[in-house]
Amino acid sequence: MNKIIIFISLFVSIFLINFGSSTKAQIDDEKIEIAQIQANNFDMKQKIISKKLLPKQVPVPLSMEYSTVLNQIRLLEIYSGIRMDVQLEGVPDSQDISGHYENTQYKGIRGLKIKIVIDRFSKDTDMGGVLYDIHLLEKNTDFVISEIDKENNNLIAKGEVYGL
Amino acid sequence: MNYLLFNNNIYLSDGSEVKRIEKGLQLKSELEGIDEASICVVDVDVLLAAAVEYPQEKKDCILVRKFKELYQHEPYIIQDERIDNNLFQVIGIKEQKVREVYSLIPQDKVRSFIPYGIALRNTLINKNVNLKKTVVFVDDLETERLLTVFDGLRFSRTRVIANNEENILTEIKRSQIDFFKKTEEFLSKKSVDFVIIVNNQALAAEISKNTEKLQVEYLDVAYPAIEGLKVTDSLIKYRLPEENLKKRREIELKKRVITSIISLCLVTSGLIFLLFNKLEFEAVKNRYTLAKQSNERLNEQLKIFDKETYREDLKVRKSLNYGISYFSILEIIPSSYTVNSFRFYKTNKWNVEMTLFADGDRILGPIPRIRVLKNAKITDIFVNNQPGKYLRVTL
Repeated sequence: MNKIIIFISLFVSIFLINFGSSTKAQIDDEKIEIAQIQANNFDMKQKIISKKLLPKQVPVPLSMEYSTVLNQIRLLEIYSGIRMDVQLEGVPDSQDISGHYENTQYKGIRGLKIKIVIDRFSKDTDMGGVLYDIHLLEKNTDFVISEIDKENNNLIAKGEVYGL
Repeated sequence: MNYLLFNNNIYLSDGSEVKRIEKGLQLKSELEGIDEASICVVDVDVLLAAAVEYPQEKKDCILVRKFKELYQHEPYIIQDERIDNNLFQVIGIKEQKVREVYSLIPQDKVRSFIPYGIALRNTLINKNVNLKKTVVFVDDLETERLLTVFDGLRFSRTRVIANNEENILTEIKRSQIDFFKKTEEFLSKKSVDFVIIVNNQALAAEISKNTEKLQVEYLDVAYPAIEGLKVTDSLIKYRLPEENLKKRREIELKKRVITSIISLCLVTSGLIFLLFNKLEFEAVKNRYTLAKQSNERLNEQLKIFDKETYREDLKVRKSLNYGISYFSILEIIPSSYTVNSFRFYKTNKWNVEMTLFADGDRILGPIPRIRVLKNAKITDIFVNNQPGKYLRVTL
């Protein structure tokens, strides 16, 4: 009888220890998560400090900014005489941007990845001028170039339009 | 300490003098003053029995059964001692006798309670009597003579012979034969030789005149059993059944308490481990909640700042004028080259890759490593049977 009681106690003890061990494993997981969150918090604090120094501007809705980019491109086309196609995930001159935007490194700001495709060049085309136009486009809008690639008779400028 | 020998009369010793007390009315008052006593009782029954040594419960069970088979007429209190491998000497005292002794001396005053044979054997061993031989001891108590046969650790039931001045040799032989018959199955020797030891010199001299030339020795100890009681270290102590029951209950209770403590310790250790972890878990959870709240607050703050400053940040990122950079490369490259392809791409800084080929049949001259091309990587290439240059520059 005594042995049975000790055996049952041992069993209960093992059960409790096992339960305690699983809790300990949970504690370890939570601690790792806390460390990650704290690192993230530290990172965000640093960003907030640096952003406090920047001048503030009113954010622009993405659709409005996209329209601005398109208008700017049309203006450049008129001045330079070079046709520029804007592709949104392969769809040329798409006006419907819903469903194409994605999150950016700026919280609450969305991005629209577009390609500007120029495929009608002549031998006399001033490539430097085209690149300068692209720079102007970038400068006058919230469009940021990530890559410009010219091969054969084809120039593709990849970038992202930012907006609220 | 007092020493008592219980027989038909009671012999009481205070350690130096021995007094004989007859059973009667004054007995109780004589024994009242005793603080502590060691007791031996003559009236015991002895049985040699074989049994397993372990487990103890099984051994006890076998020995009790064998003893009861022989002495079933009256209740006995039984003790045993190990004689040899799986061989035990079972010594029983009638329960009535034990009760009688304890009615005279309270149990708490009794330090040891052993059979007369063991007390006597202690003295014989102390006096270096060779018990490898069979020994018949004659204990002369004046009014009666006690005959006990020893062989090694074994001893016989003590026979009490009234002292009526008759020749005791016949009784000695009878005792020896009786002992030999009872124990012969456990004896290795087949010889019937024995030594007679007497504690009365005159009686020893008288017995030694026997015609069979039996060896007779004299032992100068008046009360050998009482002497043996002084040196007893026997584990044997006769107790009343209810006392045994009480002891067993106490042992059982002790076991239960120990079991309860062990069980409690086991469960408590598990519980403490669990509670400690649960408490730590709660504390960690609180820390997690606080960190998460702080994270959400900072996230909201950053979101507001990001909305207000992203445009300014974008401006900082748009520092490169691709047109001017392109021109600054082209103005260094000799006019014999035409640009076949180029690529602007960003790692940490902006990089430009270009492939250049000869314009018509013109000879490819070296590209000077000056200004923006100072650290440029320039390699020769050969594509579609056309030689050219590959150029990579970090701006």
